Amino acid sequence: MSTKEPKKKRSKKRTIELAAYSAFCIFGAYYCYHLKGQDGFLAALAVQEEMLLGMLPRITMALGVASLLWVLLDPEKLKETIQKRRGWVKVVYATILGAVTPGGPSSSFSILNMFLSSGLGYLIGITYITAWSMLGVQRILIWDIPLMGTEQAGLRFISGFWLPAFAGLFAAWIFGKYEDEKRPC
Amino acid sequence: MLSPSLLLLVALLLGLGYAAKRRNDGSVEQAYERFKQQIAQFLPRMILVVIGTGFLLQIIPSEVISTHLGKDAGWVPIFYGGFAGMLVPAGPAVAFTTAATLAGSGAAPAALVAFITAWCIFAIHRILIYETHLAGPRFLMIRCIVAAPIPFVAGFATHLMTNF
Repeated sequence: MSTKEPKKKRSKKRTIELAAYSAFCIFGAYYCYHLKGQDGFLAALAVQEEMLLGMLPRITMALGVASLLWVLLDPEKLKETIQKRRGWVKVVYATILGAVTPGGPSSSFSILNMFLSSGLGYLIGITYITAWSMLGVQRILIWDIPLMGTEQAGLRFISGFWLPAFAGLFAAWIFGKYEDEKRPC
Repeated sequence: MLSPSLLLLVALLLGLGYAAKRRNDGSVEQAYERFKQQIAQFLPRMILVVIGTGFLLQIIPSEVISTHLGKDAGWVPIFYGGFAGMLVPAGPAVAFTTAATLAGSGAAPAALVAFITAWCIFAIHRILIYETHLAGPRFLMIRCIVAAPIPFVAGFATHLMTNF
């Protein structure tokens, strides 16, 4: 019974989500026809056809890649790898680990908690969780590339891959220093 | 037609598939099971998102978007994009649909980078459901302070790259 209930909850949530997206499409179709007439409506259908034909193969491939990454990457091993490193290499590893951590927030936040409780501090914790949130490979593969295209996804990656480390260093500098001062000698 | 993104994904799929096959421990079968679950979960949503986006692209006046968020508007779209991204209280389907709609209406790449990055870092639903409970309010406060400039810095970097 305990396993059935979350499944039931999930399927209910999915039904509500799909109903909301369907309502969004119906309202969109209504307003499109109302505001732009038949020509605008047909133009929208042509855009949708083009987008779907372009996206479906990409989404299928992206989900295949994400599924393989989910199987191949072991968060525990990744965490052990980072703990063995020293200095700035640790920051680089935290960024990479954040980007490739498979699964949703529950797995990434449990890794973050392990980092914080094992004394790795804000430098690694902030770097890791920022990299996970902004550079997550699964999100890039499933959403960024299919919807925004490779060029836009690449621009976002190149302009931001160094920023989680910057955030980690900033956090360690400001808040780590403050906590050191507060700590009794 | 084979687009660069599709080629990249095919290459990744083949490489990772080969690595999974070499492990010889049922990884390929596990990945296939996961793939089927993901297809069932994402595909209907994605199709509806694309249909909705197609209608939005027709409704939203593209002149307004390109005037205020386009390349010619300079640095200002980065701020609009960054702050708007922080305020999107929904999952990736909504955030990326909005971004794709804005892109189709002529928004500058820098504004889109600021928008998506801000949403990725400050997704309100994730902060409320996970971060406050799993990482604690102090960590959350520190993360929000140090990460606040990131969407704008990423936007400026994109602006420099695209206008170089």
